[in-house]
Amino acid sequence: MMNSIRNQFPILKTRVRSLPRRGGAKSLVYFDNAATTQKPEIVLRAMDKFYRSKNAPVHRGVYTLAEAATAAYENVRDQVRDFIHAAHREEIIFTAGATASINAVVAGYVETSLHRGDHILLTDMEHHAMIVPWQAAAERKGLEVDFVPLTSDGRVDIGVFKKALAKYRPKFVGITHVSNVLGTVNPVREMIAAAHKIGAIVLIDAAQSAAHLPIDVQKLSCDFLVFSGHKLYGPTGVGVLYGRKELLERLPPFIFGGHMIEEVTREKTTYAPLPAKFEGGTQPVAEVVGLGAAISFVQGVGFNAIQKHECELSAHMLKGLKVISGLTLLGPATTQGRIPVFSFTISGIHSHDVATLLDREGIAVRAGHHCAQILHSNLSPDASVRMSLGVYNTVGEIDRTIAALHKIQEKFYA
Amino acid sequence: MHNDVRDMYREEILEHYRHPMNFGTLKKPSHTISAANPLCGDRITLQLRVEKGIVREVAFEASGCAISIAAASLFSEWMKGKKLAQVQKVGEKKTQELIKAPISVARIQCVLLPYSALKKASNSTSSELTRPRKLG
Ligand SMILES: Cc1ncc(COP(=O)(O)O)c(C=O)c1O
Repeated sequence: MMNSIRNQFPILKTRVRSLPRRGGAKSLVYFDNAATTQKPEIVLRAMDKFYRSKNAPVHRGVYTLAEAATAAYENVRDQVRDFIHAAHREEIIFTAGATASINAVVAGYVETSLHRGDHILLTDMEHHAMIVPWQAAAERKGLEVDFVPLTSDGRVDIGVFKKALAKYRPKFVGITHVSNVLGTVNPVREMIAAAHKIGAIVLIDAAQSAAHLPIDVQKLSCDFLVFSGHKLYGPTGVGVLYGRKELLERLPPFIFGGHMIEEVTREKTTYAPLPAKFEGGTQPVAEVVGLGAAISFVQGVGFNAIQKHECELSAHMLKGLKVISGLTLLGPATTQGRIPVFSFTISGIHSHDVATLLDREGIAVRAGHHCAQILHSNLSPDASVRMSLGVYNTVGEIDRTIAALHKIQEKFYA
Repeated sequence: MHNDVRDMYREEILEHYRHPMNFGTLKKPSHTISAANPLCGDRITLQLRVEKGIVREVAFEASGCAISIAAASLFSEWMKGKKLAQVQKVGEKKTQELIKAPISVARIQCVLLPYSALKKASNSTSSELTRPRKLG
């Protein structure tokens, strides 16, 4: 199965040659999938084909081509509905990405439903995309933003979470499904149920989970859920905002302009019904089409196969990392309840040096705080190296990386 | 791995990282200046004792990557006995020259970190009131 998957990603055939020029070119090992994933042929072709044969404005023209473009665009809404098991197609809103989706929910909620002194509860594990919009809104509106602390191994404990709910009585709760630094999967179903008990609205950030775990918004019973296409083997520039219908109906629009209106007169504008109300302006149609193809790709492989493969990768990686002396893994070292994302520090070697030296071996990893400074400073005073794997990565690539890490240590400790 | 003469990770650079020159603090600094690299949070605190415009003593403390530590080591050694004004004028170019290797765009800020600190000294003839911190 592995080879047939890898063959679908043209970029994985890249040979990299970096300075200084020594030895032959090496094949690319791409371990930065939590930042963005590579794109399979099916996505590239779908977008190319759209521009070659269907490009037209959606929802506007009466001519055949525009109808074809509109159908292509709206089909993806059905695909997404199916992908996350939403009850209604108009609960699926296309946005520019997870960040844009979160900003939209925050802006709408702050405008309509939150008042000075209201509490917002987040976890210490959140990405800046969840923290910063709330903090900015809190400053404008006088809200309080509270954080659920993590266990010493970097997990959200459901008991600690429930205590925070009781203590702060938040109106709104924002939770990441999976940590982009530790790869840990949060018990979101239990967390949502607990938050609903005190009447809070819950937003799930599925940016890191969408490519790795099946999502069922009805089983989760979440109010809002967001993700980005580009972390799901799809294109940049497109993402999804899911919201329960009755909540979206009450939420004010966040982008005003063409297409999102029902009627415009000099005096007044009335807004279009869902989902058009939230899709003002000309939409990124080719990107939406690409997102549809990406979902087809993921469903074609299937989450059972994805999870089985990624669990093997995790086990192999953890075994390899364990034998590197001086290496500290951030978060739990278990294969259970995680996706293959691993952040670590090596004593005496700065993470940027590790990343640059791995790059020379053709291995692309990330160094830094990974847009999660609160989490990061909880676990490590220093920047860390992050390796995040996806469906096309292999055990062989892990072996190559572990060998490279040993070589880097030899060099530094000489 | 590689050991080219023009490699930014050649043994000479790593040796400066392991045993940096002028690492520590001064007893009576005339200037104490800090700078941070916003990309990675690496910091440096540079201390100078300047007499009649001449850099008589220099010391630094930093937490950072091999490249930034080695750059600070080489740069601090180079500036001793030189006029502060002159050091500030040619410093940006000199720090890069001292590394004697092509530096990737992603890492240029690491090399320039000691210079960013030194540059700040230019605007203050008296010492800034930042206390040196033990870092790393
Ligand atoms: C957990 C999490 N949330 C949100 C985001 C933001 O996604 P995007 O940058 O695609 O809007 C990311 C990734 O950058 C993420 O990892």
